[in-house]
Amino acid sequence: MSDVMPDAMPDAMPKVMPKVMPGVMPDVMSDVMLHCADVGVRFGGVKALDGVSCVLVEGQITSVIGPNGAGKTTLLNAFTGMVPMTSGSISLRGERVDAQPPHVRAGKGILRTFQNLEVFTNMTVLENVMAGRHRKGAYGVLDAFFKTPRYHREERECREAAMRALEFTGIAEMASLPAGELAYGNQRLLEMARVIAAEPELLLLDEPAAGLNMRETRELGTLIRRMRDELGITVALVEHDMELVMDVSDMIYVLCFGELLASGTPLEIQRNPAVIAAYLGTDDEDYPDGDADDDADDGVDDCPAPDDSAEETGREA
Amino acid sequence: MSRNGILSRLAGGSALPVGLFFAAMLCMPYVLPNPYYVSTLTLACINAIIVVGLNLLLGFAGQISLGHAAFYGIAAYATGIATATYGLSMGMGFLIAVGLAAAVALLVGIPTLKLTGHYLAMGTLGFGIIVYIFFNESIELTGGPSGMVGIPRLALFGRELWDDTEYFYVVAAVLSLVLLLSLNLIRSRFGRALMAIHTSEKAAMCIGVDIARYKLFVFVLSAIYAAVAGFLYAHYLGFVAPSSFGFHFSVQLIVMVVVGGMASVWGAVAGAFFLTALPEFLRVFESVETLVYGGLLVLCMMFMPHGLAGGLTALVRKMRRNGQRPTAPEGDSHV
Repeated sequence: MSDVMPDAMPDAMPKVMPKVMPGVMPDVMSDVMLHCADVGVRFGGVKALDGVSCVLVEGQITSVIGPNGAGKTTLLNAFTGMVPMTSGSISLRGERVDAQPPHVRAGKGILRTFQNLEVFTNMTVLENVMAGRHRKGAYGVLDAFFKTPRYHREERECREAAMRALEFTGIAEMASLPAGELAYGNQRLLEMARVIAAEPELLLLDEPAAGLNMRETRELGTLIRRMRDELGITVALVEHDMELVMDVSDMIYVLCFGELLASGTPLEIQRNPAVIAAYLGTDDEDYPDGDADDDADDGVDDCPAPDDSAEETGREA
Repeated sequence: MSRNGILSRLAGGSALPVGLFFAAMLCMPYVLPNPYYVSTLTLACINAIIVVGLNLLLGFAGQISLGHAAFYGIAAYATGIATATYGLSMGMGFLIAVGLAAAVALLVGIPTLKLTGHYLAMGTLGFGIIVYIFFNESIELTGGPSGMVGIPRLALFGRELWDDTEYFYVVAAVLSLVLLLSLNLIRSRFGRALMAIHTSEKAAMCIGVDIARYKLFVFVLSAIYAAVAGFLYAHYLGFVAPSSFGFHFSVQLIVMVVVGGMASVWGAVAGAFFLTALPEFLRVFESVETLVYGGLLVLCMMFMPHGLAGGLTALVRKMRRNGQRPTAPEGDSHV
């Protein structure tokens, strides 16, 4: 792609998705998991996202990268409905979801993990994962009050699915521990297990490698790939660790100051001069007043990994 | 016992402890030295019913209510007015009491539960005070500050339960049922959703929990528990006055939850029993009674920050760990 368009048109699109232009649905919907068109998000006068269009293909790992404050987490938050969009549309398997609140979208299978761990510290590890499977539960309050056969059947299924998810991430032997007692890296795996148990249609990972050491990050990469290959989960990954991104991604979107800068396979992205410029800091005059565009959604968004863990503990306290 | 067999099939893990608790309660009138203690224990059980509900709200879902005495009072007055003033049946009184409290909780809950933290506390506090003023001022309806008399004694199957021991059994049975239902609830997807809301609303939302709906559900449920307690209270004493349902009692309920142990159904019972009975044992201190009471609460919180239930659990875990391996457990010191 970069070879074809060396002067880096921001809307450069890979061949997998022929006609993805703002507001236009692609021809083939069957393998498109999530399609977002012309998404804009404003925080007051600040444009956090501006006209971002992208396609997440079913069964693929799609990464969203970009310098600090590029709007990556904001994009994830727009997918889950945690920030209101000022323009554009989002469809899951061709169905518009942008008017739905987060819990409804989660019910439809858009699930996510958090940059700052959001483990339920008041539960055991197993309960955390069972809670994650909330959307799969169907029994009512009366079933719970009186422990009907339906309750027993569903709880057993839920427990089994949770154990499978814990085994998948390799922390099954910690199932009965209080979740807060787990080491940081294991809490990350617990968050993974929690979403895996929910059988997501689309899994959004917000900087899953933040605070992990090199070995843990490599294992994370393996885990993410296994989620795609063995469980068929469609993954969207926001990550700063380029080694991880280049290693696992089928497709990469590059955001810069709220706008789509480039997209393509890892190889194409690595050779894209606009991307290189954005990361190495030349060509600055194309993207003025960068700090104004800093993400306002999380406060701590898009900081380099070591800072995140510090922020995380600060926020939990 | 066929009854136990059915129960255990219905309730699985919670039936045995609740059954044991009920059996222990049945023995209490024979153990306690005089009938006065039975009546104290009856009030403790009535309080425990409210506190179990309030703990679902505060301890599990993490939502504070400083106005829970209001639901207790609304139900007590509602059944009192229905039965004493209008001569309706006990069953009607119960339905009106619980229905009214639930309806008020629903109306109050919808706007109030949008608030968080201190604002939720202020909102519910305001609600409690308004209801308290209403009890005091609407004299033709409630009898005003001097209270309302002549509420009939609870009757079951056409028989009035004048015997305090019998009444205690009924209250203990209701408390046991409330315990069973609550234990079942927290061990379900609903309990997990409530606890999820407590730690992280963001994460709860993102696993598909409709936060507003669950908060409202647990708020109304806890109001219903308080209403059941209010019904039992009114038909026990035969007399209700606004002073029983004021801000002071709302705070006492919170203290029972905290001293008993947040997010523990059994802790709620322990807290209610402990704090209802404590003043009786502190009578010997006469003029410094309140000081000793306050001092004991401070000591409780200093040495058992997770309440009576948390303190016991930590003790058991420590003993178990000491038996297994000498490594010191971490994580007991936080909060």
